[in-house]
Amino acid sequence: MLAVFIFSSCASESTESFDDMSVTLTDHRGQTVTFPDDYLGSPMIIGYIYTNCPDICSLITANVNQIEGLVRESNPDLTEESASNQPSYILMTFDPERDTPEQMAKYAASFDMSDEPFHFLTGDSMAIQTVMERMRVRTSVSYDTVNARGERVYFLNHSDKVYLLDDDASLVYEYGGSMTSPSMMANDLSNEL
Amino acid sequence: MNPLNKAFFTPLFGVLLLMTACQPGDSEVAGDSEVAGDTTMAGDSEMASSTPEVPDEASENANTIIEGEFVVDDAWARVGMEGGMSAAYFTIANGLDQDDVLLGAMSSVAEATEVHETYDAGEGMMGMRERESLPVAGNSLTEFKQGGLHVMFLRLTEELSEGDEVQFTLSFENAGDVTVTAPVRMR
Repeated sequence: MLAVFIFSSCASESTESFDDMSVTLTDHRGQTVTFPDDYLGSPMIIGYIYTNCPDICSLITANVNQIEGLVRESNPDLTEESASNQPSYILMTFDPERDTPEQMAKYAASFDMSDEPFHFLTGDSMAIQTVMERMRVRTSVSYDTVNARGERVYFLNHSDKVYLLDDDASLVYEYGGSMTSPSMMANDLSNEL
Repeated sequence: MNPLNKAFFTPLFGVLLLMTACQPGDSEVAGDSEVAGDTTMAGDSEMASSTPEVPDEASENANTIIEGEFVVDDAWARVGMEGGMSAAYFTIANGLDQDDVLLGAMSSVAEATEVHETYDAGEGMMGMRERESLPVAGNSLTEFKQGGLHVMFLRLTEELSEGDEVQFTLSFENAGDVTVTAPVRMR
Protein backbone atom coordinates (compact mmCIF):
# COMPACT_ATOMS: atom_id res chain seq x y z
CA MET A 1 0.00 0.00 0.00
CA LEU A 2 2.87 2.32 0.79
CA ALA A 3 4.00 2.05 -2.80
CA VAL A 4 0.59 3.15 -3.95
CA PHE A 5 0.78 6.21 -1.77
CA ILE A 6 4.27 6.99 -2.99
CA PHE A 7 3.31 6.84 -6.63
CA SER A 8 0.16 8.81 -5.98
CA SER A 9 2.21 11.74 -4.88
CA CYS A 10 2.27 13.73 -8.06
CA ALA A 11 -1.36 13.20 -8.91
CA SER A 12 -3.57 16.08 -8.02
CA GLU A 13 -7.31 15.96 -8.15
CA SER A 14 -9.48 18.36 -10.04
CA THR A 15 -13.01 18.74 -11.30
CA GLU A 16 -11.84 20.98 -14.13
CA SER A 17 -13.50 20.17 -17.43
CA PHE A 18 -12.18 20.68 -20.95
CA ASP A 19 -15.30 19.63 -22.81
CA ASP A 20 -15.98 23.16 -24.08
CA MET A 21 -12.69 23.61 -25.93
CA SER A 22 -13.49 22.20 -29.41
CA VAL A 23 -10.09 22.89 -30.93
CA THR A 24 -9.31 21.72 -34.45
CA LEU A 25 -6.13 19.65 -34.60
CA THR A 26 -4.58 17.05 -36.91
CA ASP A 27 -3.54 13.56 -35.91
CA HIS A 28 -0.53 11.61 -37.13
CA ARG A 29 -2.74 9.80 -39.62
CA GLY A 30 -3.47 13.14 -41.29
CA GLN A 31 -7.05 13.23 -40.07
CA THR A 32 -8.56 16.51 -38.90
CA VAL A 33 -9.90 16.05 -35.40
CA THR A 34 -11.73 18.19 -32.89
CA PHE A 35 -10.31 18.04 -29.39
CA PRO A 36 -11.70 16.86 -27.10
CA ASP A 37 -15.03 16.32 -28.86
CA ASP A 38 -13.85 13.44 -31.01
CA TYR A 39 -12.53 11.60 -27.99
CA LEU A 40 -15.49 11.96 -25.66
CA GLY A 41 -17.23 8.83 -24.46
CA SER A 42 -14.17 7.08 -23.10
CA PRO A 43 -11.35 8.21 -20.84
CA MET A 44 -8.19 9.80 -22.19
CA ILE A 45 -4.55 9.77 -21.21
CA ILE A 46 -2.77 12.84 -22.58
CA GLY A 47 0.99 13.33 -22.61
CA TYR A 48 2.57 16.60 -23.74
CA ILE A 49 5.71 16.24 -25.82
CA TYR A 50 7.85 17.48 -28.67
CA THR A 51 9.60 15.06 -30.95
CA ASN A 52 13.00 16.76 -30.88
CA CYS A 53 13.30 15.99 -27.18
CA PRO A 54 15.21 12.73 -26.70
CA ASP A 55 14.88 12.11 -23.00
CA ILE A 56 11.87 13.29 -21.01
CA CYS A 57 9.36 13.29 -23.89
CA SER A 58 10.53 9.89 -25.09
CA LEU A 59 10.05 8.62 -21.57
CA ILE A 60 6.54 10.08 -21.46
CA THR A 61 5.76 8.47 -24.82
CA ALA A 62 7.12 5.10 -23.72
CA ASN A 63 5.14 5.41 -20.48
CA VAL A 64 1.90 6.05 -22.37
CA ASN A 65 2.65 3.01 -24.50
CA GLN A 66 3.16 0.95 -21.35
CA ILE A 67 -0.04 2.28 -19.78
CA GLU A 68 -1.99 1.08 -22.82
CA GLY A 69 -0.52 -2.40 -22.49
CA LEU A 70 -1.20 -2.57 -18.77
CA VAL A 71 -4.79 -1.37 -19.13
CA ARG A 72 -5.45 -3.87 -21.92
CA GLU A 73 -3.97 -6.67 -19.81
CA SER A 74 -6.25 -5.91 -16.89
CA ASN A 75 -9.32 -5.26 -19.06
CA PRO A 76 -9.66 -8.13 -21.56
CA ASP A 77 -12.69 -6.48 -23.15
CA LEU A 78 -10.32 -3.87 -24.56
CA THR A 79 -8.47 -6.39 -26.70
CA GLU A 80 -10.52 -5.18 -29.63
CA GLU A 81 -9.21 -1.76 -30.61
CA SER A 82 -12.76 -0.77 -31.53
CA ALA A 83 -14.17 -1.56 -28.08
CA SER A 84 -16.72 1.10 -27.20
CA ASN A 85 -14.96 2.00 -23.97
CA GLN A 86 -11.48 1.93 -25.50
CA PRO A 87 -9.52 4.79 -23.93
CA SER A 88 -7.70 7.26 -26.15
CA TYR A 89 -3.96 7.52 -25.61
CA ILE A 90 -2.97 10.96 -26.82
CA LEU A 91 0.47 12.49 -27.26
CA MET A 92 0.12 16.18 -28.05
CA THR A 93 2.98 18.35 -29.24
CA PHE A 94 3.74 21.83 -27.96
CA ASP A 95 6.15 22.38 -30.86
CA PRO A 96 3.87 22.56 -33.90
CA GLU A 97 6.47 24.45 -35.94
CA ARG A 98 8.54 21.30 -36.32
CA ASP A 99 6.04 18.62 -35.35
CA THR A 100 4.02 18.35 -38.52
CA PRO A 101 1.59 15.43 -38.90
CA GLU A 102 4.25 13.68 -41.00
CA GLN A 103 6.85 14.19 -38.28
CA MET A 104 4.41 12.93 -35.67
CA ALA A 105 3.72 9.87 -37.83
CA LYS A 106 7.41 9.02 -38.03
CA TYR A 107 7.80 9.56 -34.31
CA ALA A 108 4.79 7.34 -33.58
CA ALA A 109 6.18 4.63 -35.84
CA SER A 110 9.53 4.64 -34.08
CA PHE A 111 7.68 3.79 -30.85
CA ASP A 112 5.46 1.23 -32.63
CA MET A 113 2.45 3.38 -31.74
CA SER A 114 1.10 4.16 -35.21
CA ASP A 115 -2.20 2.38 -34.77
CA GLU A 116 -5.29 2.87 -32.62
CA PRO A 117 -5.77 3.63 -29.81
CA PHE A 118 -2.81 6.02 -30.05
CA HIS A 119 -3.28 9.57 -31.30
CA PHE A 120 -0.38 11.94 -31.87
CA LEU A 121 -1.87 15.40 -32.23
CA THR A 122 -0.52 18.61 -33.68
CA GLY A 123 -2.09 21.68 -35.23
CA ASP A 124 -1.51 25.24 -36.22
CA SER A 125 0.33 27.40 -33.72
CA MET A 126 -2.77 29.21 -32.50
CA ALA A 127 -4.67 25.99 -31.90
CA ILE A 128 -1.79 24.42 -30.02
CA GLN A 129 -1.29 27.57 -27.99
CA THR A 130 -4.96 27.55 -27.07
CA VAL A 131 -4.77 23.97 -25.86
CA MET A 132 -1.52 24.38 -23.98
CA GLU A 133 -2.67 27.51 -22.20
CA ARG A 134 -5.85 25.80 -21.14
CA MET A 135 -3.95 22.69 -20.06
CA ARG A 136 -1.38 24.83 -18.22
CA VAL A 137 1.50 23.37 -20.19
CA ARG A 138 4.31 25.88 -20.36
CA THR A 139 7.30 26.03 -22.66
CA SER A 140 10.27 28.31 -23.16
CA VAL A 141 13.11 28.13 -25.66
CA SER A 142 16.25 27.08 -23.81
CA TYR A 143 18.77 26.74 -26.62
CA ASP A 144 18.50 28.34 -30.02
CA THR A 145 21.10 28.27 -32.74
CA VAL A 146 21.56 27.79 -36.47
CA ASN A 147 23.46 24.74 -37.68
CA ALA A 148 25.95 24.49 -40.54
CA ARG A 149 23.12 23.98 -43.01
CA GLY A 150 21.44 27.18 -41.93
CA GLU A 151 18.67 25.33 -40.13
CA ARG A 152 17.33 26.55 -36.83
CA VAL A 153 18.00 24.14 -33.95
CA TYR A 154 16.34 24.73 -30.62
CA PHE A 155 15.32 22.93 -27.47
CA LEU A 156 12.51 23.72 -25.09
CA ASN A 157 12.13 23.80 -21.38
CA HIS A 158 8.66 22.44 -20.77
CA SER A 159 6.14 21.27 -18.26
CA ASP A 160 6.39 17.57 -17.53
CA LYS A 161 2.77 16.44 -17.39
CA VAL A 162 0.38 13.64 -18.15
CA TYR A 163 -3.36 14.11 -17.69
CA LEU A 164 -6.08 11.56 -17.12
CA LEU A 165 -9.43 12.84 -18.35
CA ASP A 166 -12.70 11.00 -17.86
CA ASP A 167 -15.13 10.25 -20.67
CA ASP A 168 -16.56 13.78 -20.36
CA ALA A 169 -13.11 15.37 -20.68
CA SER A 170 -13.02 16.34 -17.03
CA LEU A 171 -9.61 16.23 -15.43
CA VAL A 172 -9.31 13.25 -13.10
CA TYR A 173 -5.61 13.44 -12.29
CA GLU A 174 -2.66 15.57 -13.29
CA TYR A 175 0.58 13.62 -13.03
CA GLY A 176 4.23 14.55 -13.07
CA GLY A 177 4.55 13.10 -16.55
CA SER A 178 7.82 11.29 -16.95
CA MET A 179 8.44 10.31 -13.36
CA THR A 180 5.08 8.83 -12.45
CA SER A 181 4.70 5.07 -12.38
CA PRO A 182 2.88 3.80 -15.50
CA SER A 183 1.34 1.12 -13.27
CA MET A 184 -0.30 3.73 -11.08
CA MET A 185 -1.61 5.69 -14.04
CA ALA A 186 -2.90 2.45 -15.61
CA ASN A 187 -4.75 1.62 -12.39
CA ASP A 188 -6.29 5.07 -12.28
CA LEU A 189 -7.36 4.75 -15.91
CA SER A 190 -8.85 1.30 -15.34
CA ASN A 191 -10.91 2.77 -12.51
CA GLU A 192 -12.48 5.16 -15.03
CA LEU A 193 -13.66 2.36 -17.32
CA MET B 1 -8.01 3.55 -4.51
CA ASN B 2 -10.67 6.13 -4.88
CA PRO B 3 -9.77 9.79 -5.40
CA LEU B 4 -10.76 10.81 -1.90
CA ASN B 5 -8.36 8.36 -0.32
CA LYS B 6 -5.63 9.47 -2.66
CA ALA B 7 -6.16 13.10 -1.79
CA PHE B 8 -6.27 12.35 1.91
CA PHE B 9 -3.07 10.39 2.10
CA THR B 10 -0.98 12.55 -0.17
CA PRO B 11 -0.04 15.16 2.47
CA LEU B 12 0.66 12.46 5.02
CA PHE B 13 3.49 11.11 2.94
CA GLY B 14 4.58 14.45 1.61
CA VAL B 15 8.19 14.29 2.64
CA LEU B 16 8.67 10.79 1.34
CA LEU B 17 6.93 11.68 -1.88
CA LEU B 18 9.14 14.65 -2.41
CA MET B 19 12.09 12.31 -2.38
CA THR B 20 10.64 9.87 -4.84
CA ALA B 21 8.09 10.32 -7.53
CA CYS B 22 8.17 14.08 -7.95
CA GLN B 23 11.86 14.66 -8.32
CA PRO B 24 14.08 13.94 -11.26
CA GLY B 25 16.68 12.74 -8.83
CA ASP B 26 20.39 13.12 -8.60
CA SER B 27 21.96 11.48 -11.58
CA GLU B 28 25.48 11.49 -10.32
CA VAL B 29 25.67 8.82 -7.69
CA ALA B 30 28.33 9.18 -5.07
CA GLY B 31 30.77 6.36 -4.59
CA ASP B 32 30.27 3.76 -1.91
CA SER B 33 33.37 2.06 -0.66
CA GLU B 34 31.30 -0.80 0.73
CA VAL B 35 30.43 -1.99 -2.74
CA ALA B 36 33.92 -1.69 -4.19
CA GLY B 37 34.98 -5.12 -5.36
CA ASP B 38 31.54 -6.55 -4.65
CA THR B 39 30.46 -9.02 -7.31
CA THR B 40 26.79 -8.92 -6.36
CA MET B 41 24.55 -9.70 -9.30
CA ALA B 42 22.54 -6.91 -10.85
CA GLY B 43 19.41 -6.26 -8.86
CA ASP B 44 20.92 -7.36 -5.56
CA SER B 45 23.13 -4.37 -5.01
CA GLU B 46 22.33 -1.79 -2.42
CA MET B 47 23.14 0.76 -5.06
CA ALA B 48 20.24 -0.43 -7.15
CA SER B 49 17.56 1.60 -5.45
CA SER B 50 18.92 5.04 -6.23
CA THR B 51 16.27 5.72 -8.88
CA PRO B 52 12.95 5.20 -7.12
CA GLU B 53 11.21 7.75 -9.32
CA VAL B 54 11.34 5.31 -12.23
CA PRO B 55 10.63 2.11 -10.35
CA ASP B 56 10.15 -0.05 -13.41
CA GLU B 57 13.66 0.66 -14.56
CA ALA B 58 15.43 0.97 -11.23
CA SER B 59 16.67 -2.58 -11.01
CA GLU B 60 17.92 -2.48 -14.59
CA ASN B 61 20.40 0.21 -13.73
CA ALA B 62 21.95 -1.81 -10.94
CA ASN B 63 25.70 -2.04 -11.13
CA THR B 64 28.65 -2.47 -8.87
CA ILE B 65 32.12 -1.09 -8.75
CA ILE B 66 34.88 -3.60 -9.44
CA GLU B 67 38.02 -2.59 -7.61
CA GLY B 68 40.78 -1.67 -10.00
CA GLU B 69 38.56 -1.61 -13.07
CA PHE B 70 36.98 1.18 -15.07
CA VAL B 71 33.79 -0.15 -16.68
CA VAL B 72 30.93 1.31 -18.73
CA ASP B 73 28.02 -1.12 -18.47
CA ASP B 74 24.23 -1.57 -18.67
CA ALA B 75 24.04 0.51 -21.82
CA TRP B 76 20.91 0.88 -23.90
CA ALA B 77 19.63 3.43 -26.39
CA ARG B 78 16.16 4.69 -27.17
CA VAL B 79 14.35 4.00 -30.40
CA GLY B 80 14.35 6.99 -32.72
CA MET B 81 13.40 8.06 -36.21
CA GLU B 82 15.86 8.98 -38.94
CA GLY B 83 16.57 12.69 -38.68
CA GLY B 84 15.27 12.68 -35.12
CA MET B 85 16.77 12.43 -31.68
CA SER B 86 17.68 9.58 -29.39
CA ALA B 87 19.57 9.05 -26.19
CA ALA B 88 21.79 6.41 -24.63
CA TYR B 89 21.87 5.43 -20.98
CA PHE B 90 24.51 3.45 -19.08
CA THR B 91 26.52 3.28 -15.88
CA ILE B 92 30.14 4.33 -15.47
CA ALA B 93 31.70 2.23 -12.70
CA ASN B 94 35.05 3.77 -11.86
CA GLY B 95 36.75 1.25 -9.59
CA LEU B 96 40.04 3.11 -9.75
CA ASP B 97 41.30 5.37 -7.02
CA GLN B 98 41.96 8.04 -9.63
CA ASP B 99 39.30 10.59 -10.51
CA ASP B 100 38.46 10.97 -14.18
CA VAL B 101 36.57 13.36 -16.43
CA LEU B 102 34.19 12.53 -19.27
CA LEU B 103 35.17 14.92 -22.02
CA GLY B 104 32.67 14.00 -24.71
CA ALA B 105 30.99 11.36 -26.83
CA MET B 106 31.14 10.34 -30.48
CA SER B 107 29.09 8.09 -32.72
CA SER B 108 28.35 7.46 -36.37
CA VAL B 109 24.59 7.09 -35.90
CA ALA B 110 23.93 10.81 -35.63
CA GLU B 111 25.17 14.09 -37.00
CA ALA B 112 26.16 15.13 -33.50
CA THR B 113 26.63 13.23 -30.26
CA GLU B 114 26.75 15.15 -27.01
CA VAL B 115 26.61 14.58 -23.28
CA HIS B 116 23.43 16.15 -21.98
CA GLU B 117 21.56 16.38 -18.73
CA THR B 118 17.86 16.79 -18.09
CA TYR B 119 17.30 19.00 -15.08
CA ASP B 120 14.53 20.60 -13.08
CA ALA B 121 14.24 24.08 -14.58
CA GLY B 122 11.88 25.22 -11.82
CA GLU B 123 8.18 26.01 -11.74
CA GLY B 124 7.33 22.52 -12.91
CA MET B 125 9.46 22.82 -16.03
CA MET B 126 12.08 20.37 -17.20
CA GLY B 127 15.08 21.53 -19.19
CA MET B 128 18.09 20.04 -20.90
CA ARG B 129 21.65 21.26 -20.99
CA GLU B 130 24.96 20.08 -22.36
CA ARG B 131 27.63 18.78 -19.98
CA GLU B 132 30.89 19.46 -21.73
CA SER B 133 33.01 18.15 -18.89
CA LEU B 134 31.66 15.66 -16.36
CA PRO B 135 33.72 14.64 -13.32
CA VAL B 136 33.78 10.89 -12.65
CA ALA B 137 35.18 10.41 -9.16
CA GLY B 138 37.37 7.48 -8.27
CA ASN B 139 35.50 4.55 -6.69
CA SER B 140 32.12 5.83 -7.81
CA LEU B 141 29.14 4.90 -9.92
CA THR B 142 27.79 7.50 -12.32
CA GLU B 143 24.41 6.65 -13.77
CA PHE B 144 23.21 7.97 -17.08
CA LYS B 145 19.51 7.41 -16.80
CA GLN B 146 16.16 8.62 -18.05
CA GLY B 147 15.39 12.06 -16.73
CA GLY B 148 19.03 12.76 -15.95
CA LEU B 149 22.38 12.40 -17.66
CA HIS B 150 22.30 10.93 -21.15
CA VAL B 151 24.34 10.77 -24.31
CA MET B 152 22.22 12.54 -26.86
CA PHE B 153 22.15 11.63 -30.53
CA LEU B 154 21.13 14.66 -32.58
CA ARG B 155 19.71 14.05 -36.04
CA LEU B 156 19.98 10.31 -36.39
CA THR B 157 21.41 9.22 -39.70
CA GLU B 158 19.32 6.05 -39.54
CA GLU B 159 16.22 4.85 -37.76
CA LEU B 160 16.88 3.08 -34.48
CA SER B 161 14.43 0.24 -33.91
CA GLU B 162 14.00 -2.32 -31.19
CA GLY B 163 16.59 -5.04 -31.65
CA ASP B 164 19.16 -2.75 -33.27
CA GLU B 165 22.48 -1.98 -31.66
CA VAL B 166 24.34 1.30 -31.64
CA GLN B 167 27.96 1.95 -30.90
CA PHE B 168 29.31 5.12 -29.41
CA THR B 169 32.59 6.17 -27.89
CA LEU B 170 33.06 7.98 -24.62
CA SER B 171 36.26 10.01 -24.23
CA PHE B 172 37.72 10.20 -20.76
CA GLU B 173 40.63 12.30 -19.66
CA ASN B 174 42.46 9.37 -18.07
CA ALA B 175 40.73 6.20 -19.23
CA GLY B 176 40.90 7.33 -22.84
CA ASP B 177 38.30 6.28 -25.39
CA VAL B 178 35.80 3.65 -24.31
CA THR B 179 33.60 2.17 -27.04
CA VAL B 180 30.15 1.12 -25.87
CA THR B 181 27.66 -1.13 -27.65
CA ALA B 182 24.06 -0.49 -26.66
CA PRO B 183 20.93 -2.44 -27.60
CA VAL B 184 18.06 -0.27 -28.83
CA ARG B 185 14.88 -0.44 -26.80
CA MET B 186 11.71 1.55 -26.38
CA ARG B 187 12.25 1.79 -22.64
